[in-house]
Amino acid sequence: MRMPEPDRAIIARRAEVVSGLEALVAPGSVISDRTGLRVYETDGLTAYRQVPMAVVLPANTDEVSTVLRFCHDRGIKVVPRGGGTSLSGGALPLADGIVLSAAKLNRVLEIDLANQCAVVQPGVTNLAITDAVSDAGYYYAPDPSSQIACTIGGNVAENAGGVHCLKYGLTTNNLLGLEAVLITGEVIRIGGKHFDSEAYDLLGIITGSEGLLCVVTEATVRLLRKPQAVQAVLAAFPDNTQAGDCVARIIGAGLIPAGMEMMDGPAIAAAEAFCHAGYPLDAGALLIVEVDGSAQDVLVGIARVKEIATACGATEVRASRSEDERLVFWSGRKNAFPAIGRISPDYYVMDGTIPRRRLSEMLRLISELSAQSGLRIANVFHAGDGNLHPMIMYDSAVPGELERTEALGAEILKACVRMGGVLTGEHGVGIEKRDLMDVMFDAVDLDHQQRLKCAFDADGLLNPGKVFPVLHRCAELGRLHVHHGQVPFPDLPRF
Amino acid sequence: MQLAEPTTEEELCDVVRVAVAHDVPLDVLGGGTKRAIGRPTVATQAVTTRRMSGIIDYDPTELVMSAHAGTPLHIIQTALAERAQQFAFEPRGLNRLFNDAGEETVGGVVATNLSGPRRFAAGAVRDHLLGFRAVSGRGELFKSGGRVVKNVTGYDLSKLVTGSFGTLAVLTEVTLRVVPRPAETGTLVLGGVGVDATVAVFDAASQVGAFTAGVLLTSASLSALPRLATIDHSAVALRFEGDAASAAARVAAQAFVGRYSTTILETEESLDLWAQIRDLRYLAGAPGAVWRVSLARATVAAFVAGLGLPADAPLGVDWAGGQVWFADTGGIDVRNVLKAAAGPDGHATLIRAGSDGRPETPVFHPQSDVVAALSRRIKHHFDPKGVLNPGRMYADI
Repeated sequence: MRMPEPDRAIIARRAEVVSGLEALVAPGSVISDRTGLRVYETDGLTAYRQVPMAVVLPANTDEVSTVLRFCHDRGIKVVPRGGGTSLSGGALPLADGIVLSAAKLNRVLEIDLANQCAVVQPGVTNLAITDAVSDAGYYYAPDPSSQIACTIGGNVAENAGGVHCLKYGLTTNNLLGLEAVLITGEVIRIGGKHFDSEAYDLLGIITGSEGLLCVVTEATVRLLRKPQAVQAVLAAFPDNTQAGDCVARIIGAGLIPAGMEMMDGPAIAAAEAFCHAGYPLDAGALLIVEVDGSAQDVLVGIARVKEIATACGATEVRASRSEDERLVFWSGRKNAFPAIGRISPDYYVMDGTIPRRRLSEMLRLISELSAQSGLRIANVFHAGDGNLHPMIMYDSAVPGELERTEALGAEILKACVRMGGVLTGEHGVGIEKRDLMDVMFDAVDLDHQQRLKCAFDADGLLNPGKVFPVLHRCAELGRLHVHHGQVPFPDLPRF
Repeated sequence: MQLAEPTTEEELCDVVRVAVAHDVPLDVLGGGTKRAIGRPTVATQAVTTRRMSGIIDYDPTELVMSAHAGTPLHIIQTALAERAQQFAFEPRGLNRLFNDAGEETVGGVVATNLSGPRRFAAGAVRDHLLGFRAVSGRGELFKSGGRVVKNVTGYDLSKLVTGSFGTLAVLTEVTLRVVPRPAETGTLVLGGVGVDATVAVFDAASQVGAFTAGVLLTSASLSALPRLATIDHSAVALRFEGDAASAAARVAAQAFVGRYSTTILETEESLDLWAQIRDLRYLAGAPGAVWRVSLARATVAAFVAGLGLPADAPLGVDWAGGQVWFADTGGIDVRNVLKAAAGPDGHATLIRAGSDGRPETPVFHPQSDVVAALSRRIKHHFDPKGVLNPGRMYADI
């Protein structure tokens, strides 16, 4: 993975840059010593490491604004960082850039239950929002597996999902407003405590922009009332095909479960050994289907899920009998990543999405690719929305194994696109899938995306090297390639 | 004004390129049913997508519908209904409001982002557009998004084009999420609820059941709806959906007995009523400008009080408190009222101009200088020569 060539002239001015930054923020808010910087050299994609020039920890919007203006004026690149849990390398630093950390912006500013929202700083963790409003009977719906550590700022940048997206959507569907700072230091406020901002949906395009457009300094998120009842069904199947069929039939029956997760044999074995969730070890595939709503909705929904699972050949169907048992059902699934980490020196989590109907076909292909490469793969999916998380197990100490793992991962993602799906469902493109973007998009598509970037950050200083395989200069993108002579039959009346 | 009616994406590219080459600003239309929303453009020619029509891919088990942008909405809705599915966002049809007999297209639904009563519970049009193809003001065909619900590959340009009123690109194909139709729909009508008590009623109702639409209608609004015309004060209507919706409406009614009059409507009557509320029938017959205001729900009573509307002006509080629609018979400066009552959390859009046209009234809510400049830069990058609906949203947009 090649990153943009570092600017030697900027690196040569490092001492000057550090002291300049120190003058802008509270004492102790700039990290520049070797040991301190090492903490920030990687994120959740640990295969890549790079120590930045400096790390700045602003404590308020003014400091963010001043730091960005300073960087803008001097052409210094900026990598924003929340909890550093990105699985696609979104927060990987640059040798000639600084890291802008949200660590000190970690306050819940306002809980406004009358308007069913909370206003938080970007460094607040995902789970902390729910914790802050849980006693009042509310919660924040998106729940990525890393929710204990990932921050809302990172969630906005990556448009984070979770296991309940099928019914409640991703971050973008649960966000009402933002305060953000442009690379020029200008502060923008978009949306608020109301739905749908006026004119262009800037809230929508900033969400999921992977830190390339602006730096979020405040987010207003929707709070939902906890459902009256929640229950989950655990259904074990002899193989993936039957489980995949069950998923399609549940959706076909008009049910929208709150979550519908699938695990294959290797994932079940690893999770059970780690969490003792009571998963049947002889199963080839496991489904967890959660239904929420009124007591009546849940009663009816759970009965129908059990009926469909049985009809699809489930060998065991269990409905949770208590809240504790429901959480036990989920414990194995939510800890699938660390569970794999226990049985393999390293693992690489993939994140493609495919149309649901191609699930079993995809699983067969993954198992063939695994056999060919000699690398083991365990699969967990957000089956309800076709989002796959194959986990390739490898050992980075074995020369060449990381490269083989990445090549295998790329094959899986290309197959996702071939089957009518996409490269990433919720982890982001980052550096990881950057060079695969042209599998999904042609040059004209990517140019239009980059023009949005140009409107926000014409000099390309925010998080360069991520998302786009080739960076064009904005002046070049701005040229209009339509001339009188190029239009066929220019005098022909079109109107 | 002449109308270009391309039948393919290539022809549309050609039309836009000619417009760019000859500096011809274009009115961008689907069926043209919402053409009256927005500032007057300086367009001298028009282009419509209505001959790019037809469903491309509909697989009910995937909950996804792809169609050419010019496909009439009713054709899609019929196809969905045959498989007991629907769009969750309840697109508002404004034929009555504009006294227009045109056929709205699915592309127009996306371009205007007018979402119905279920928005607060199920999202807006912008939450359901999964992907699209379009021709930008550069005369180039591009695509974004995909056909799957979970997708973060690249910038989410679907959000950018939704509600952009054809000022950035002409949509050629859209892929939208669909949902199952509820088995039953039940409505609880609470007669006698005033604007002051509206949000409290919504909160109390949500304690006893999850409703998917909550609307307050003033007496002038009620009189325009045949099913509710006999209620002589303002009223709140709550919609329940699901396997036991009628029972849910009855259970909810118990919480209000003795305080308000309660009426239950069963499925058929409910569907009829909610279609009328969705399409703003309660405003269609009223004279004057029609405004839409989005605001923080807890501020709605203060906002409505601050408006000082005459008693005969119809008004509806939709989205369980989050959106207000009304016909202004008295020449009110709504944005000043919004500033005073709701603070920064809200925006107002002039949906239908009054008889005087009031060309000096901004249609979309004024933006801060920084946001306005950013929006202009986006417009410039997608439509550098300003040939697509120039000036429809703001002076340079």
